[in-house]
Amino acid sequence: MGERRRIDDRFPRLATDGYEITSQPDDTYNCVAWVARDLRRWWHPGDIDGFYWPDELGEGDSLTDYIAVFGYLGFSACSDGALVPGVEKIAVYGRDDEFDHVAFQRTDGSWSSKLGELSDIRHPYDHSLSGSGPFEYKPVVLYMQRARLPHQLAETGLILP
Amino acid sequence: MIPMAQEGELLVGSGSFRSAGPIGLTMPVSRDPRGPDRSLLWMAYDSHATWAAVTLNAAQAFGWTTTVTTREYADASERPVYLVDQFAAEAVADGWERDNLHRSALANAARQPAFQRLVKLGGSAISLALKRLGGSQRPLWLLFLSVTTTDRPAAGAETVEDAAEAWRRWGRRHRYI
Repeated sequence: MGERRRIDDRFPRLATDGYEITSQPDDTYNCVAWVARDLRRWWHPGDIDGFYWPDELGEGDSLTDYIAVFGYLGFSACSDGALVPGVEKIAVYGRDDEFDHVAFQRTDGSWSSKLGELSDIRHPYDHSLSGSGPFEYKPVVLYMQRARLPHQLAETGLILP
Repeated sequence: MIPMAQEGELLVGSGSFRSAGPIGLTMPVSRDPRGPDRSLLWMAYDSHATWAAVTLNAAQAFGWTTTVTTREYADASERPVYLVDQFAAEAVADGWERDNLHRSALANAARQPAFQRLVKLGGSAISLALKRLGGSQRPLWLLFLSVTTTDRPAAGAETVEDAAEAWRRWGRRHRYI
């Protein structure tokens, strides 16, 4: 099954809204690592060998624990996902203190997501990944922001060969 | 001496026993719980959740030495339950991978029914997990192994690749794969 088909099947709203695949599927890093621009490690709390989590943080896996890691990366809570020049925002998805996903905002206002072990994608709307389908992510529950750091990956994602 | 079949020749058919010819079949009838596990990597299964095919060359590759005649193996009491179990394990594993393919946070995966079903298979599931560490959903199987085994062969590994390789070395050393 092709990558687009696998994504479309899981995220019907995304399929309707449109998106661009910006990398090959890769199981070496996940959405949290993508926000940290760490393409070598799967960021995940808990005592699981092969996963990475900053030593300074606890091993809990609640939404609160994930928000803590985004704080560790320099993000703080903000009111919305509106584009602000010089500011990088992230959208945190979850519900009932359960973390589901995180996407970061590109300089053009669109969003970039690493979909688990699937690809990175660029999607126009942060809410395109959420819905009531069995695989769709829970809604955005928090926006966070930090000063935008200049680096190539933030703008382009990993370009397909 | 085990007679050899051509590559891909079917020795056992789905659902009912079917001899490929007037030859004996070597099967892992050992009660050593690890014996069946090793054989499973070479089984092919059809979509009817029964059992499907074994090639003689695969049997020889594994060095199976217990010769079972077709008639003996056709006996229901000899038909290994683990064949069906393993088919189920493969199907459950496929479903578990499918359900979590797009997940970055995997804690929930260990609470899903599929995970619990795999855990109940014991050594078979460990072999299966180690085999799937060669695939494209390694984080999921690293999670599985970390929860279901007490050994920590990948202690200190910070990358999926390093941990997967450490686990597979461990699996070979313990003859799971």
